[in-house]
Amino acid sequence: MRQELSVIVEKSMQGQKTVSGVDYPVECIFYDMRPYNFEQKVIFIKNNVNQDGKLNFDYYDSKKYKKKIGFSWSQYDQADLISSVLGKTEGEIHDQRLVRHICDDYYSKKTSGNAGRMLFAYTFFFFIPFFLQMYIHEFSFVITCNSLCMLMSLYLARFEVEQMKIQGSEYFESFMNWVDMAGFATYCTYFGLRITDPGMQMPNYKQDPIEDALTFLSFPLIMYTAIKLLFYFQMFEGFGLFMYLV
Amino acid sequence: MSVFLPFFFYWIFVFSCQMFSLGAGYKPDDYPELSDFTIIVLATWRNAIGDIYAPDYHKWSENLNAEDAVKDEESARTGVTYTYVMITLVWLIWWLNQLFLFLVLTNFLISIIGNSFGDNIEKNMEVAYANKIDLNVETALFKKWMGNDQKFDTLIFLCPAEDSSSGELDESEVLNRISTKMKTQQESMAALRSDLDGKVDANTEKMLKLNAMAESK
Repeated sequence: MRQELSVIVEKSMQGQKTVSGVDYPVECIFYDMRPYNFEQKVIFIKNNVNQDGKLNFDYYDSKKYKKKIGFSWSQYDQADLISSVLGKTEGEIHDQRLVRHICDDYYSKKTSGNAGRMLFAYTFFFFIPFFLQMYIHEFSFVITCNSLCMLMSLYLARFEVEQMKIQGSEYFESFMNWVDMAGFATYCTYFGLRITDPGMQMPNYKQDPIEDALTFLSFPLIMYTAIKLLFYFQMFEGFGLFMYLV
Repeated sequence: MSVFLPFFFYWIFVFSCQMFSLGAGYKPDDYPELSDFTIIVLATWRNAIGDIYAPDYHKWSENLNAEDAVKDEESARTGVTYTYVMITLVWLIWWLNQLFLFLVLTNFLISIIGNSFGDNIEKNMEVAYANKIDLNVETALFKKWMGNDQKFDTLIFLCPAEDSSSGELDESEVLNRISTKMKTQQESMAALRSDLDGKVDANTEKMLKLNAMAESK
């Protein structure tokens, strides 16, 4: 326990300047998740014990159950908890110093870097290639751009699937998740049609069904890519506020 | 805005219907391949946002000439009066459109947006944290997917006290506080465990008694 404590403190104090022997007022907030984890275990045992008083291990070993219950507290749980706190106490962030500290800490250590990488990847592997392939009709260029877009779409779709697994039915409560699914389906259709004739000029006003479908699909896809890119732009504080005001 | 926009579009629709029912409209030069009613709706919208142009009632003008040519003097006079009443009504509708939609409602919209902007500009902290939290959840999900979701059973948050100006922490003070808090937590854990054990024992005892009773029966 002592060893664990020292490791935790060492990790917590990373990035903080310490002055040994100086009596300095520190607010130290301590949350022990073990009672919570312990409670989860008790609930699990209560729900899954059979008539002989023995635990039903078959059920525990099933993949379905493993995904549902975690007997430990993770950073995702923490981020989710903070999000729920904010959702239930809208507009009171000024008074919630702890929430702000936790949020800032995770944001500075993990999120800002990750959001920056995602913004970069989405811009250069989807947004720019998608727009370029609409106006440059050179065969190999269209194939390259669309392949990049497809790879990025598959990567994001894989993430959506994982999100579905982790969040369960909660995933479908978010409107943006529906937009993401529809965006992926639309791009797959677009990709399939575009690859059939990469040299095709759009629009050609000749009432060719494939060309017409591509021209029509480009409308929701441009909207979708623009909205998706704006999501990653939220990492810039001023930009996020402006988006909210608009 | 959720009240304003339906109200605004409702009046655009009403004024468009009025114009259409009076047999007037707007010149179709700017609106090729569109129906008469669609042209009127679009032109009413343009008038409502300050892009003003005059109505077109050429059918009434043609009618006026036809009345003069065909009918007798009295009925021609009645027809002329009727046509002029219609033309007056067309201009009245056009004038009401400018007055109500452009002068009143559009300026009202500007004031609504101005007020909303003023109210929300002070919410910059709320918005910033809402966005940060959204991105935090997204990142945490991403890390979980990648197998990088750090697991822990204890959280310790260290921050300078509210009235302090320095950002330096006293290591020994922090450790003392943490160990004190941990002791308290351990005691509560122990209490919880013993409470649960007690309950389990009592239940087991009950079960044993019931079993014994069942067997004796």
